[in-house]
Order: sequence, then C-alpha cells, then structure tokens
Amino acid sequence: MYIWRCACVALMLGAFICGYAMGIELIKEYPNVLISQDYGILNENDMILYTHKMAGTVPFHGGKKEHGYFYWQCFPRDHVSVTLEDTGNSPEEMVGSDTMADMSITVNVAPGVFHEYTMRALAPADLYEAMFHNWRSLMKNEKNICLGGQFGEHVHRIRSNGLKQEVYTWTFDELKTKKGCDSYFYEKCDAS
Amino acid sequence: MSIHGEVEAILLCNIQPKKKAHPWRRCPIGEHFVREHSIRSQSSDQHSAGNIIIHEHCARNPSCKEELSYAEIQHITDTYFADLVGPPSKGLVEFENSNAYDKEIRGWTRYWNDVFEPANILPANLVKALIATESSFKPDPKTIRIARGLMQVRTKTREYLQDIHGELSDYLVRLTPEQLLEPSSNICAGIRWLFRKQVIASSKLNRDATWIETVADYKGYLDKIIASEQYNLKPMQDLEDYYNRLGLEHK
Repeated sequence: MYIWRCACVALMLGAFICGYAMGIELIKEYPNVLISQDYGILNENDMILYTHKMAGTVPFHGGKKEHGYFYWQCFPRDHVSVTLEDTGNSPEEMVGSDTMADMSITVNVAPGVFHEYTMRALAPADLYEAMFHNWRSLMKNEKNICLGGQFGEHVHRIRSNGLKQEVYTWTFDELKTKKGCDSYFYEKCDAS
Repeated sequence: MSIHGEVEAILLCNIQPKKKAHPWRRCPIGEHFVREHSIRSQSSDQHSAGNIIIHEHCARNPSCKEELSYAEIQHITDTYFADLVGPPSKGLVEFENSNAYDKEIRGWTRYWNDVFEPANILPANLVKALIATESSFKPDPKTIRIARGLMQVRTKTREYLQDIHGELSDYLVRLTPEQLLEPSSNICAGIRWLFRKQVIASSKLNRDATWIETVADYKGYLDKIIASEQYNLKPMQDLEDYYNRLGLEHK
C-alpha cells in the first residue's frame, strides 16, 4: 500500500513538474507569443497559430508596434469575468428573428488594471448565448484560463465615478482551459 | 438560350434583349452563367448509357432578376481582375495574407460601384480595412456559428442575397455555403451586402449614410450609435485606424 502511495505521489509530482517545465519551455521558445506563464494549458500548436509567417512576431510591451499582433496570456479564473449583453436591437432585415448581442471578457490583473477582450461584431443573441454557456462550462472549477487575442491598445480611462483605469484592449480569438477550448472562428480548436 | 426561350424571357420578364448589367458579365440580365459540365445519361432504345457534355451557356433565371452565379463570379475574376490597377493599397503588415486578396477587393469594389453608381463611391481601402477587422485575412475562418469567410458574411445574409422575394429587389448573388468560403465569391457577396446596408443605414439616418456608417450597420453597431447608447468601440476604432493607414500608405 505504501509503495502504491509513493508511486502515485511520484507520478503526480512528475506530471506537475513536466507540465511546469513544458510551460517554461513554451515561454522560452515563444516569448513573443506567450506573454505569461501558461499553467500547462497551452501547447506548441497554439504558439504556431499566432506566429506570423511573414512579419514574424513582436515582443509585447503594450505599445503601438504590437497593435494587430496575436498573443496568448493566462490568468487565474477568479480574475476573469464574462459579460453577455442583449442589445435589444434587431437589424431591419432580421424581422421576427433574434435580437443582436455582444460579449466581452474582462480580466482584473491588479487594482485598476484590466485586460478587455471584445468581439469583432454583434451577433444574433442565440449564437453568443451558446458561446457564453460553452465558456462557462469550460471554465467551471478550473483554476486558470488562457486567452488568445489580437492586441488593440493600452489606454487610460476615467470612469464616470472618477476612478482611473488602465486598460489593455484585445480582440477575442480563443479561450482555452485544461478541459478544452473555444475559438471565435473555428468550430474545432486544438483542445489537446 | 433558344429563340423561343429568349422571346419568352423578354415577354415574361420585361427584359431588354441581350442587355448586360456590367460589361464584364458573360450573360445578359435575367440569365446566369453555367460552366461546361457533364451529366450521366440513361440508356434508351437508341442510345447506350454514357456521359453527355453540357457546354458552357447562359441559363434563364426563374426570378427574371439579375443574378450572379458562382461560375460567373469565377469567370469575371479569372478574366478581368489580373490587369486592374488602383486601390486598395498594400499594407497592414501585421496581418498574415493582408495583401493576398487585393485583386479581388479591387475587382469587386469596381464592379459594384459601376453597377450601383453611388454618389460617393465605395473605397476599396475601406473594404480591405473591413476584412482586417472581420477575419484578419484568415483564408478560411469557416465558423458556421457566426459568419463565413473573409468578410464574415452571415448565414442569414447568404439567404437574403439570393431570396427573390426578400431583401434585395435586384442584383442577387446565388452561392452555396461552401462557395461562400471561396475568397472572390465571399468578397463579391460581402460588397453586394454593403450596398444593401447603405440603403438600410440611410433609411435609419434619414439621410445618405456615409460608408463608415454603413460599415457600422454591417457590424450591427449603427442602432447603438443613433441611440447614443454605449457599445464596444474597438471594432469601429480598429476599422478607421486601418482605413486611415491604408490611405496614408496610398499617398
């Protein structure tokens, strides 16, 4: 019994070290694509997906040079909130069909500092609602999540209550946890 | 089309004989182009079974309306687009493939500007900027959950584009979901939809909508802008940034 316990502990420790080492390897090998630790969630295919074959990659400093480039970063789940908003409007040509909706992900990384991931356009509410439920199930009971997106800008905003905010804006591309992933464009993403 | 068919089309559809909607069109108004293809024939008393070649031809549209078929879109692209010059400008290097579809953007922007002759022509650079924000020039972003192809044409929009009793009174584009993923067809359909959106946006604004306002409606934000409600500014800010940069690169 004792031997089995030891073996299990050793296996778990091995898996942890292996995952951690892999994460370190990814960040070492793709420092311009992965800009945080990845908690063993991402793999090399995820890195290749965001490696620009012609223009290469650009180190991330949150400046204008990086505008339009794709990056991965991972966060503790409890820093992440997802918003689904039914706008109430429906386009003239969609008479009798669903209203339009928008979705966004806000990550509070430090007091007053946020990463905001937004969608490329409004979409019929039922489509974003399905996506919202999928994301919730992917994130349920997960400690960390990774987000892939296209960098927009780094801005300072003053809210209506006078609070100052530092915001990094992103266009959402992919969400990944150890359970799986969901992409804006593709029905199937690399969940391994 | 046979003489009988042509007379029938003229009578039924009130179409000017052999008038084309655009010089690049292979077929006159009310007909669509069919590429050469073969069909399997069944055996009869006189003939054994085999393949029959159907040569390329123009077939009458039951709608009598002006329609672009996939075959004709490909024919126009292959025949006319290679020699065109002018905008869009090269640029937006942060996107992979950002200049790969300039030929199709140039061609279809010119085609639809010629057909509709708007007071303010649709700028090809704006179409390129729109593609950057919609699909990042990803060659095959084929999600069916939201939209398809470079210009992210929605599933419903594809239906509207070919519904003879629906949204468009003329100049329909008939494509299957798979054909809509092909870049030239996607850009052709997306720009046709922009021209429809300009009519819708103008009616919402009670004046002629600008092309930027039209794109805001394409993305679904115009109602929010008109109502002065909060909305996600980023897609439109990105669009204007890309559009301005392409304009600067052009100068």
